Amino acid sequence: MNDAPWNGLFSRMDDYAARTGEEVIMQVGNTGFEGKHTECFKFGTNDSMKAIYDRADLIVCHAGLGTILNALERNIPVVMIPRVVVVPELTRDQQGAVAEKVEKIGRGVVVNDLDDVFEGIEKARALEFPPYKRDDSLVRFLIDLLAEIDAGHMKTEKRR
Amino acid sequence: MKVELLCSWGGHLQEMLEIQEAWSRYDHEIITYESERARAMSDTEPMLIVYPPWKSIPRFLWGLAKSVVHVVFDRPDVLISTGMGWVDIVIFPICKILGTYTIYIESGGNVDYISGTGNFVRRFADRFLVRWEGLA
Repeated sequence: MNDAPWNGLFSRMDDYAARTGEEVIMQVGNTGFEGKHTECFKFGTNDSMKAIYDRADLIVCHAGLGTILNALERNIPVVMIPRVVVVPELTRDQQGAVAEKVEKIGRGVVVNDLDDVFEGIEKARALEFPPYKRDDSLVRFLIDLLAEIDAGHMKTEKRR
Repeated sequence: MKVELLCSWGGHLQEMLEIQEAWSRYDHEIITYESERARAMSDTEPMLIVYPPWKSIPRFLWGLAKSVVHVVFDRPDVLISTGMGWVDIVIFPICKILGTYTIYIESGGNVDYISGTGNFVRRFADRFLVRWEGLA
């Protein structure tokens, strides 16, 4: 989670864990939030976050691209709450645009009001989608480009 | 060939790791903002960790100065950034002067418009890459 005020979401998820008995793990950053029914931690390393993602069957997040990518690659449905939901004074928030794209391809649900989180979770659980096929065109392009540069075939040039 | 990598934390670092297959085969160094993830990675990856400006401007400026020194003395052949704000704004022009091949990859999180950093950096980038067709 970034530094936006997410305590409203954390308390709702704590409530959700209490009601359903489901295991809920939350990364709470520097908010100081302590869950009564959830396991909370501040920040994680690559390995610890991977381990958590690997165990998850659903992710609730702030529509950050990193988290969404982790969900997509594991074929986990994702409930996305764009930052503007908790920071309404934000005039430009592209998280909402990213979240809508993910919802459009049927791999997640956008929640625009914290009171709708539980409903969003139920909708996300009902989603069915084929295995995610990662688009590696950027990596392939960069591999070829760097090879060309290493071979001395590419000089610095005007932006294309 | 030496590759210098710039990325902020969180999603920007994640996006740099998504293209790791491209840069990891070369001598490389990652310049990124301080985070638990970055600290853990520094055990196995060559990294220069910069204190973020939103936490402490003096410490950020010190880290930025170290980044400049690294780049000027290392003279990387390639610079790749997935977005690091003020560090991009300083390092890209310097690398352009040094003759480094510069690549900027706009975050996939920017769907409708290019970021302010991207708009500044594009004049110094040999390759300016966007993830969404509408931004091309």
